[in-house]
This record gives sequence, C-alpha cells and structure tokens, in this order.
Amino acid sequence: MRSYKLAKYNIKSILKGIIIYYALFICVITGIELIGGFSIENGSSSGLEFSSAIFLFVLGLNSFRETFYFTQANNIPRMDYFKATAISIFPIALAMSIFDVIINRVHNLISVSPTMYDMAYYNSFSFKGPWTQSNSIQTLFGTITFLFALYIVAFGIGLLITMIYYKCNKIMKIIVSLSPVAVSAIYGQMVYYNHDFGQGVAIFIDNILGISTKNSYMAVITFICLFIILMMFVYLLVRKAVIKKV
Amino acid sequence: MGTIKVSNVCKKYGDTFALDNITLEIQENKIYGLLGRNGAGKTTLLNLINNRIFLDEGSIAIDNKKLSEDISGIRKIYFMAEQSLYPQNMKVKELYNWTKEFYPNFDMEYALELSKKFELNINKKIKELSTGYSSICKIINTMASGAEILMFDEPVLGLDANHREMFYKELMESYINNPKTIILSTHIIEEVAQLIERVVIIKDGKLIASEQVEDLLKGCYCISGLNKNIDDYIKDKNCISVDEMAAFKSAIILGENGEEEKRQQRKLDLEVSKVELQKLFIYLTSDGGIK
Repeated sequence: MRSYKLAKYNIKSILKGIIIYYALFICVITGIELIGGFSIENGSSSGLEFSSAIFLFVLGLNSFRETFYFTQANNIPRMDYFKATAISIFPIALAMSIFDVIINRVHNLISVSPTMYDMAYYNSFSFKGPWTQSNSIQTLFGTITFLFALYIVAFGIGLLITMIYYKCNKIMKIIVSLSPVAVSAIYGQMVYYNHDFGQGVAIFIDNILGISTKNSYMAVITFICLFIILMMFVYLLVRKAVIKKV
Repeated sequence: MGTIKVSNVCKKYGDTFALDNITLEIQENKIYGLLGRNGAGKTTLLNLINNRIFLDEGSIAIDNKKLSEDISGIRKIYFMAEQSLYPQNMKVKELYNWTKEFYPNFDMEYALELSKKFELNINKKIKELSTGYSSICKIINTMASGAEILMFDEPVLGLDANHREMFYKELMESYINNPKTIILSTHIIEEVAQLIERVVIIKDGKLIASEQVEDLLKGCYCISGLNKNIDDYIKDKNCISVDEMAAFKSAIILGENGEEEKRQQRKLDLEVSKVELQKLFIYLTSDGGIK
C-alpha cells in the first residue's frame, strides 16, 4: 500500500518537470517550423521522440537521492521504495509515448517527421522517396509500445547509473565513468582484428531489435527484458543503501 | 504497544566499534533520555532501530517482531533525524500532506495548531527555513505523526530558549493527553532532566546505564558547606566532583546517604541535596567514570 502512495508521490514530483519539458519541446518544434515557413519542402526532422528518451534518462539520473531520503524520513522500507520506483515509471512512460505520438502526428501535418518506429519498422519508409505516415491501429499501437519500452529502459539506465555513483567511492566512480570508453575501445579493437566478431554483434543487435524482420515487438521484448535486468541491479544496490551525510 | 528490544547489538565502522554489545529494552509509553557524549553511538543506535543502517551482530525487535524477519515494525516509529531528509523544494504544508499519506494517524489539525504556536510559515519551502525553523518543522511533523514511538535526535538544534521551552511544554502536554513511547537524544541534559522518566547512557559504544532517573540519582547525593568541613567529610568517601566558590564547597558523593553519614553531616553543618542528572552524567561519561 505504501508503495502505491510513494509511486503517487514520485509521479506528482516528476509531473512539473514533464510539463516544462513538453512546453519546451513544442516551442522548439514550432520555432523550427516557423523558421522553415511551415513548408514540407523546406526540410524534415526525424526521431524527435528520442529527446523524450534522453529526458527520461536524465530523470532517472536525478530520481534517486531525494526520493530515497524522503522514504527514509518516513520509515518506508527499501523494498517499498524499489516497488514504487518501478511502478511509477510505467504510467509516466506510457503517457509520454502516447503524447509523443500525438505531437508527432500533428507535426506530420505540416512537415515530414517520421518517428524512430517509422524509420526502423515501417515497410514503405524511405529517406529518398515520398512518404506518407500510416495511422493504422497497428502502426499506432506498435509505435506506442516501442516508445514505452524504450522509455522505461532509458529511465532504468539513468537510475542504475546514479545508484552506482551513489554507492561507489571516488576511485570506483572514475572506473565506472571510464568504462564506456574502455568498452568501446576494446570493441573497436576486436572488430578491427576480427571482422566476423563485429558482424556477429551487428546481426545479434539486428535480431534482438527485430529490424530486418520489421518486428517492433522483438525490440519491445528486448527492452522489457533489459528493464527487468536493470531493475534487478537497482534492487541489489538499494537493498543495502544508506543515507549519506547531507 | 510501542516497545523496542535491542539484543546484543554490535555495529562496526572499519575496526572501530560504534556500538558494542548493546542490550536494552524500551518500554511502552515512557519518556526516555538517550544520553552520551559526542560520537558515543546515540545516533547509530537510533539509525539501527529505524533500519536506516544495518546491524553487524545482534537483533532488534519492535513489539516483539524482529526487524530481520518483519520490517513492518518501523512503521510504528517516527524518527526525527538531525539532518533534514525532506525534499528541499517541498512546502511545509505539502510535507504535512505527504506525511499523512504515509502515517494515516497524522493529526493535521494538531500540526497546523503547532505551526501557528511556533509561528512556522507553512507556505515556505523547506530550503527557505532557517536552522531553527527547520528543526521546528521536523518537530511538528514528528509530534503530529501519530506514530506509537517518537524518536528525536537533537530536536532543539538551533532553537532559541523560547522555542525550546515551548517544545518541552507541548511534548509533555501531548504525552499526557496521548501517552506514547518517546526517546529524546540530546546534549542539553539540564533541560530534559525534568521530562524524562528513564535514562539510557552510552559511552564509547557501550551501554553504561539504562534505568529510572530516580534510581540512578538515588545512588548519590550532593553536600555543601564550608570548605574545611567538606574536606573533612569527603576524605573517606567516594567523591566524584567538587565545586568551590569562595569559602564554600559543594561535592557529589557516590554511595548511600545512611544514618552514619547523616550524623556526620549534622555535626559538620552540611546541607544535603539531590544531584543534578547532568553532573552525574558528566562523571559517568568522563574518563574517570565507568569504563
């Protein structure tokens, strides 16, 4: 029961940020269109909803300390904090994916603006030729589920990173910060010396995201699995988290 | 209910014992004073009871339910920590509303009444409050929480004398109207001495006293009189402190004030009085005290 109340608190505290984000997002799109003179010929934009994924990633980065401290102030067990965090991201991600689709459809009335889903999974999409966006139930449902799954993963990654930083000492923080660079450098070297390995990885990513087969649900399943794995790590970290001196 | 049982609790930071084999029982509906010098382990003990940090050894039970088996017991406690754990952008009135969500017995009317008495502006954000008013905000939230056990860690931090007096008065009134278990951890012993029924004293992570204040004070007495007479009286007694003022001295004697002692006091024209808790505390927690 306390988890739901805490989830309500999470959603309410995030709401203001979301409103500001969408206000800015709509202003930027309108600004771009005003500069382009509301003309389809004057350019296109694509995958604008990726900014929502970045926003949710940043939200994840900022959502740990304050809420955790507040739960501790109210003697809410860590398990309830974990449940509340997991519960609260679902309605936020769903609402944002629906809202992004609505903004995108409106935007497409005045400009060419394919979503990430359109570019990756819509059969007739091409950057070169003329393109008409589909508004079939299947496409809308596919777009929303794809965005929803992407958003929860973005939030999960942000949350996990901030928790790793919270739990680590200075040296570990440096190691964690450098690890993406190290991984990409090692991967680059491995691909350079073993071309098959690089190709194998590319095929693997293609398969788990269902890009070649144009199956967005494959990506949805992958993202959901990834979210579950991320949350398992979050749980392991939050289980023994303690308040640091303010 | 509102009982806490701490059994053989140990907490280590590195090689240092913050708490070393602490066993004590907090009885329901009593006011406790948790006393100890800086770094003695008072906050560590409170944090352990509230599951904010983790035990190395031992167990803690709230209303006979071990925390390691059933964490729900901590819901019965509202712990006012020394540091502010509330979201800094939250308004005081919003804080009250959210506390009510998590503590269904939160008394909003009482919280608003106290806010008025303490002149706390409930429309202010937490970050806008001064140190004193931040403490007041935490005090009000704790007192109105409706929890069965209230814990205050340095509650009067930054409070002026008027507000401190008001806090003690309100706490007492609230306790009389609705008895509950209260633990006060503070350095200002003089001010809480009249409030607390039982005292828990921690020294260097070890429990050195857990008893009724009256019982603790029964084991010693204070005498005062002329310098020479006091010197005569204390030479074969266990004297723990002597204060001198011009031709007069006062001394605290550890031990029973029996008939023989009373005869001697009459002979030397000495006055006997009760020992102040703070004086006894200083002795007990000083290097010459209990080890």
